[in-house]
Amino acid sequence: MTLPTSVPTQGAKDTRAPLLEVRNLKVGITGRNKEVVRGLDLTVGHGEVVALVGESGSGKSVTALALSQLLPPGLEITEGSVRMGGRELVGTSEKDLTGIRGRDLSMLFQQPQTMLDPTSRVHVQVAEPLASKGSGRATFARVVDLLRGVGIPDPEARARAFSHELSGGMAQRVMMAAAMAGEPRLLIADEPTTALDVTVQAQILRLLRDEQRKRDLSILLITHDLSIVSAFSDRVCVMYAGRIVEEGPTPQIMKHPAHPYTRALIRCSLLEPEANGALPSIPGSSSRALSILEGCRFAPRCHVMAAAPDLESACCATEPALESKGQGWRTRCHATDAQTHGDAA
Amino acid sequence: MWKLVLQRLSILVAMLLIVSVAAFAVPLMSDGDPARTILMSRTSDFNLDPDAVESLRTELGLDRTLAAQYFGWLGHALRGDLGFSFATRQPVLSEIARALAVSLTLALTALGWALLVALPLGTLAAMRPGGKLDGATTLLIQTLVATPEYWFAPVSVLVFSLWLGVLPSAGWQGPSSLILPALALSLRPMAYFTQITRAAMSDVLQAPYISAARARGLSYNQSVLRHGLRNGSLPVITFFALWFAGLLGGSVVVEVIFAIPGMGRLLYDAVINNDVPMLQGAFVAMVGLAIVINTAADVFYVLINPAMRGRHAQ
Amino acid sequence: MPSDMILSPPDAPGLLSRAVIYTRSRHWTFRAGVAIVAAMIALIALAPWIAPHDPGAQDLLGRLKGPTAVHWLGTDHLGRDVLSRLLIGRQFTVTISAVAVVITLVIGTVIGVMAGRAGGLADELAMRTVDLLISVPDVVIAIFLIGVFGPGWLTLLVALTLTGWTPYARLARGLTREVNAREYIRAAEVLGMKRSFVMFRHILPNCIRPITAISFLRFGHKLITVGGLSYLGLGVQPPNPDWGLMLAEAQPYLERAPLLMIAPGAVIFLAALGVTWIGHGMEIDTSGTGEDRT
Ligand SMILES: Nc1ncnc2c1ncn2[C@@H]1O[C@H](COP(=O)(O)OP(=O)(O)OP(=O)(O)O)[C@@H](O)[C@H]1O
Ligand code: SF4
Ligand SMILES: [Mg+2]
Repeated sequence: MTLPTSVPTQGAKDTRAPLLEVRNLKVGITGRNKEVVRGLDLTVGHGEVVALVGESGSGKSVTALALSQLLPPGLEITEGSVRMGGRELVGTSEKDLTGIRGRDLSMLFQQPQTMLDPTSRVHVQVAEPLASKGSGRATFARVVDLLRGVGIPDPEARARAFSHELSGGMAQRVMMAAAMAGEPRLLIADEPTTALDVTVQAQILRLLRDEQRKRDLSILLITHDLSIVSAFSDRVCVMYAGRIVEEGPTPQIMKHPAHPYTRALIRCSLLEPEANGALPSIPGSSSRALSILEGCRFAPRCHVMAAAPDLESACCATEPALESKGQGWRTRCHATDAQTHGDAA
Repeated sequence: MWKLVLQRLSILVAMLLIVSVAAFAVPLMSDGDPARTILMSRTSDFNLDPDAVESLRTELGLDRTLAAQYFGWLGHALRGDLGFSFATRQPVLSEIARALAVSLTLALTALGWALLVALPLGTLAAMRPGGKLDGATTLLIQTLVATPEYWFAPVSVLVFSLWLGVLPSAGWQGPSSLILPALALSLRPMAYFTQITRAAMSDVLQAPYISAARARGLSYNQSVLRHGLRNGSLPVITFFALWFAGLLGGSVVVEVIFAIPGMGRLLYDAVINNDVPMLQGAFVAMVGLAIVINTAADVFYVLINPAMRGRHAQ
Repeated sequence: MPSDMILSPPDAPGLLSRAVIYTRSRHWTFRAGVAIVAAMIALIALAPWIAPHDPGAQDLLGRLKGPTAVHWLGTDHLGRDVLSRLLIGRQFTVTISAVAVVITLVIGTVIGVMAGRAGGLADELAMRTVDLLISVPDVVIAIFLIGVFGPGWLTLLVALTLTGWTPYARLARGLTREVNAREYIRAAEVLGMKRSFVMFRHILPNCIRPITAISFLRFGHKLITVGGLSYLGLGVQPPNPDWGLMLAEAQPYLERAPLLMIAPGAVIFLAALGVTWIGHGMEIDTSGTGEDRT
């Protein structure tokens, strides 16, 4: 895959307070005593690109929706705070949120075509976040500019198209134009390229990075593709069973992952697909990790604990805290560096 | 797109031909002799002169082959000549035109009223599935479906005309005479409209494009209004057309009860008077109209639904 | 099934107890519908013994009386007891409706399964016909045929069948295509089983429950249609007691004896409501979405 080369931006050096600050966010299933996001801490600085990675079902999409206060019925924020530019979003009235969504905070989703209303034209939907509603013609011209800005050929014609007339990549560009229409400061992109062809993926990512540089945009990029993480992000947060297990600067973590789960993820991403075509994956399954109530959620699949039997009592009794390793690098594991790196890898 | 229209049109024509054959042929299967029937209705005399019968038969072309008779009849019908009513001696077509205007008014009033209740009710029910309003709506739907209009109508007459004296009990003068019949007619469509609206809206409310619209800064209500209602109304439109076609002729009972000179009443009177040309004409008009409206709705549905349009264009 | 063991006699889980178990596990509308319909069937079946009067006995002096201790629902224009007339007699409306439902069910299902199996042009043609026929009111066809052939049960049945088969055909066709797509059907065909065998072995069992559900809904609908024709004097001929006809006969006395009209209407309403509830309850449990459950 041809990816844009990594150019870490100035994000880490920015001394302002972070743009997005999530503290102890918990999302539960309504009416059931079950949490799918269990106390998540996350910050995104100004102009910073943060990647959120994790296996399927680890709660990435739920987190994205919780941040924008768009959880579907059946899921609710039970605790925690989401501050955006110093402003608390949890508990903010729906009316105030409509002024924030699309303006300060925009979103991209995995299935761009299903995210567009099949019965209304592209330009209507792209125009919705525009702050000042000028004349119809002025708005249309602005929409055409936006569409051209995201590299859509023949933007006038495409502006009048319906979603079913667009390819997946084109639809994602349209979503991108709509996301940029409100001049947001933060973009939450939930696997924006997963459903697309490989070549289109690279185009969309390049577009994302161009916009990011042009506007000094902060991006929370959700993915489970580690090549995208290393090519694209300043910092990476690794999520497992509703919590961050490791976070820190992307280059360091990709080179020397501290958490056994991160190590396993990276190792799998480096392996070739198996002979039968299946992608390599971490042995065991994360599907029951949410029902583990004590100790480290990763313990049943952890090769480090398996190799160091003296860890077992700690790992199975208490969940480790997220501890700093310096330089904004934090990890949630009982094992020492020596234990973690002692294994064959 | 044009392929679709052509296909629907050809099926429409085929169906209309079948209907016309039925309208023409079925009366022949009964044992009455049309010439005798006509003469009897004209002279009110059972002792018919055989010569008169024979000459009328020739005049009517009844001595020709069946096929010749059918194509003769069809040719006239296509030119708008459906013959004369035995009972009123008026051209069938003009009687039908007059009755159709009445039925049209009645059907549109009933359906408009039904929609007025069904759209908000179905939408509200869909917004809280399993809630109190949803349960009450389901109950209401079934009650309405099970209510015979020939029961509701007399009861409403009893209450509003005989006891309260605020509305006329029958007849066709002015808007006030429209209220009770339209109400009686609206019950069943109201139930089905509510049901379909509820189903369509509960699909729409969960649609990903609604969340996406909210993520662009629209409020929930705005998202539903701008992007939900049109998608949710597509199935309702189909249903509306179905009922519209059905009510044009299916309102026989209500028109008879309220003495309304519409299509249903026309058909009923034709049966009571043994008025074969009128019966044929009314039958062709009602069934034909139902099929035409249905086809038009089908094409219209594709027109307003861009995704369908795209699919058929390929 | 554990509830089976608890509720049924230890040795023979008879038909009745099975029915009871089935009923208990359904949506409340199903149970309420069964209760209404069962009560009505019982009353009609026992009518010869429990009817307080001879339904044909006239008493012109005591005509159009309101409810009294002797005539609970009053008397009609000929002084006949309304309650007895409601209970007794050939229930033309109910019988014709039931027969029509069975006939249309069979015809519609066969057409639907065949269209679904055949696919292609035949399928397209069948479904277009269904689409068009659905908008044609059965009352119009019924009145046309009655106008030509005169009233009678055969005329009515033909009229109701001409348009009534369409919902079954559409449903059976959908289910057939769904089942068709499943691997084991193709596997069975590859193994050389005959098409018709595959069809009856796998497709029909899948259709039975949803089709039963629709049948009840359609039955309610037919009750009202046939009652309406009766009401117009195009159904059964007097003096046979019939609900629709009783309603029509009551029309002139609307103000003087309202109960005369209200009672038979209420009976048709209850019958239609009962079967509609049964159908609705079954539909909820067969559709399996659970969304409608309260
Ligand atoms: N509406 C919902 N109601 C209840 N549980 C839900 C709901 N949506 C998601 N979940 C649960 O929340 C957990 C996290 O789901 P989520 O979609 O966030 O995973 P993800 O990390 O985005 O996975 P993927 O990579 O497949 O997109 C899953 O266990 C899922 O079953
Ligand atoms: S805490 Fe223990 S089980 Fe969990 S990841 Fe670290 S070593 Fe493995
Ligand atoms: Mg996801």
